[in-house]
Amino acid sequence: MKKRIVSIVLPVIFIMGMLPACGSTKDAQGEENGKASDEKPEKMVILMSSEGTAPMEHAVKTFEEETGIKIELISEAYDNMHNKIMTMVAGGSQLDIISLDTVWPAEFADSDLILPLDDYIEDDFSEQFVDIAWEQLRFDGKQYGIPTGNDAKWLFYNKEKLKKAGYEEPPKTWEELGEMSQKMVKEGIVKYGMALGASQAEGLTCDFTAMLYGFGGQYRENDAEASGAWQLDSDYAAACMTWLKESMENYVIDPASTTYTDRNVMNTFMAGDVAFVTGWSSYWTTTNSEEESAIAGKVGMTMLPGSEDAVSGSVAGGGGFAVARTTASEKYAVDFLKLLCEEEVQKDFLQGVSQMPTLKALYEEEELTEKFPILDMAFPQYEYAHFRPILVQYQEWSTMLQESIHKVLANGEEPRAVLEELQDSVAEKIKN
Amino acid sequence: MKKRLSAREARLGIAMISPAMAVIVGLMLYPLLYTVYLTVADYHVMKGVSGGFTGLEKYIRVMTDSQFWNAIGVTMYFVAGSLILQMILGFAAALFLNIPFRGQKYLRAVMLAPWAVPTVANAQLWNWILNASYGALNKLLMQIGIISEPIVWLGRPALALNVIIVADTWKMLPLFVVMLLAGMATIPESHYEAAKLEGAGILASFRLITFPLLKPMLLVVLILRTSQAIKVFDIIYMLTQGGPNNTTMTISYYTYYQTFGLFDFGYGAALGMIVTIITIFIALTYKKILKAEEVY
Repeated sequence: MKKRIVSIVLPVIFIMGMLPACGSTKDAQGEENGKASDEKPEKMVILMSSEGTAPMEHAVKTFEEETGIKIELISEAYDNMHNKIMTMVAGGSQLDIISLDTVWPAEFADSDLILPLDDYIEDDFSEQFVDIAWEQLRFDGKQYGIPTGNDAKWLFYNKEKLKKAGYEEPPKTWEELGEMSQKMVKEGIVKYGMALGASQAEGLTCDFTAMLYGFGGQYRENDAEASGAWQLDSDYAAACMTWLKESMENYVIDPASTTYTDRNVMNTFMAGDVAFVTGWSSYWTTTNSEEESAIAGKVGMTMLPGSEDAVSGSVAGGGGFAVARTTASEKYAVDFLKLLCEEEVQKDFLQGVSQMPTLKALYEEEELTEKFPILDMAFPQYEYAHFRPILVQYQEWSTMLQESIHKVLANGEEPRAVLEELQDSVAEKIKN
Repeated sequence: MKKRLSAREARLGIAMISPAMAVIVGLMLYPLLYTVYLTVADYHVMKGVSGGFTGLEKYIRVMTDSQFWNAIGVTMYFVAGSLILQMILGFAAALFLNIPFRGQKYLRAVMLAPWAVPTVANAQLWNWILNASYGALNKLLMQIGIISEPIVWLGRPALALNVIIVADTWKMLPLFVVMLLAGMATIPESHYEAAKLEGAGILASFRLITFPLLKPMLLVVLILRTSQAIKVFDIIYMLTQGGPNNTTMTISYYTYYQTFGLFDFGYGAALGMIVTIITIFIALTYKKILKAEEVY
């Protein structure tokens, strides 16, 4: 009898448990049609990367005073952000505003995790932003985020080491960088020419993207419009991969790079072991910090090298903020995002955490560019910065690319064959 | 004779165990059944269950996934490599520490230190030791002239998994040593005295007395360590994240990557179920061997 009761009770508990799980997505949306009310909420919740919380707290205070809405600020390490956002929204927690990395809009929009903002922004609102910063948060013809951080990769170099080797200027092409590196290694000025964050992680995809464009290539026939057939095995891609492979073998690139994250790259550069690194804008502050860096004051920052086929190539980073579907009020959430686009707030982020502004006007403000010389050094690179592919299956695509690069760099396989294999598997598995 | 409980006693008994049962059902049984359900449902973490049931589709996908077989191969290599290394070194260390000498007790206590280090801290420690540019291992090998150029320990496909096995061994060896020492303490001294009288040497004593009598203990340690080693995740996450070129992509890390990297919960659940079945199968095999063992 007891066994019978147990055999009935257990499935009932199980099935009852399933029911809310099946319906959870509807509950999680707050409203059935996914559109939240425009009424003034009592509280809003922001989830952001822990790197920029101090300036954000100032913006939060201003918003609270202006509207009377209480803001709860949750900060999370960048590496955990993606999962935290997914699980919070899927779990139905109130979440109004989230950080939006440049490679997330397609995936999040496809899952209806974030809401399009077009109904709440004026037609000319986009004109105040650096083009690439605005464009990278669009998907399927709709604007899903407001850009607040404008990042790309630059070439950072050790001016003292270059001078010692007789160079006045940084390299303009990757070939030139290779030659300069070999000379400096031969003369015992550095251990290796450059360090690269080439461990099997997203940083590798970023660097490869920058280099691929620097060699004149792109991922698809029309990357800018996220269309066209894949061309991962193009001559440009092969040239780029071959250069990377050879550079690992002839001391241009530190062979330990296949284990390096961004932080390891910076450490190697700051110790004076290498003359060049590719890095985000935040490298400028860190590598020039007297406390952390042995080469403070000796660091130069310039555009990444190019080739015969391209002046330069870089990868767009940064990102902004978006409104989650679990918001209590889409209107007030967008109002907060607009506050983050005010000049004073962006200056606060620049001052506080070296976050590069997305407003064009700030790059032209003389007083500001004098105080922050990085603005002048950084601006020319934006013209040559490109997105990583805008794909719903971005994570999967990026992993496939990383594995292929490691086949060449770690296993020593032939670049062309690996790229052809990658081209076939991406064409088969990734929906364009 | 079986005595029936009175209805009152039975009710009390049920009431007493119900909190524990609720915890077991809520935290173990329900997640387990839900995981099984995810493997046969068309589930998307943001959209919920949309397209009904998919049957065995995900299991078939697992079986035809080359990455899965690569991960199984890597995991088995890790399990076999770390167990063999730890068993050999564990036996050697336990035999040594079983010999009475001055300071033996202190050495036994010191031996335990690596085991007390959290896995993440151990991984970070080895990350520094193995660092190609400024790691202690390369510096040491270069100073004594064994190598002339730094070796990228964690960046070379042929080396990465092997050095992870060494890092794991450094931490887990004390478990083997402690368990084997406990086993050795149960062997009566008279056995060895009798063997000595019969003219047996050290090797013969080990082969005929120590090893056979330690078998049950050894099997317990092996079951414990096998199930731990199959689940290896933290040290991989900290040191290589599955690279270079997936040569350290263990099955647990692959399951994590599919579940939380690509957010494919259904496929992650199918992988998890298959790993569970493999682990149960290995545990049952060990159990059978353990039962079959005769200890004299």
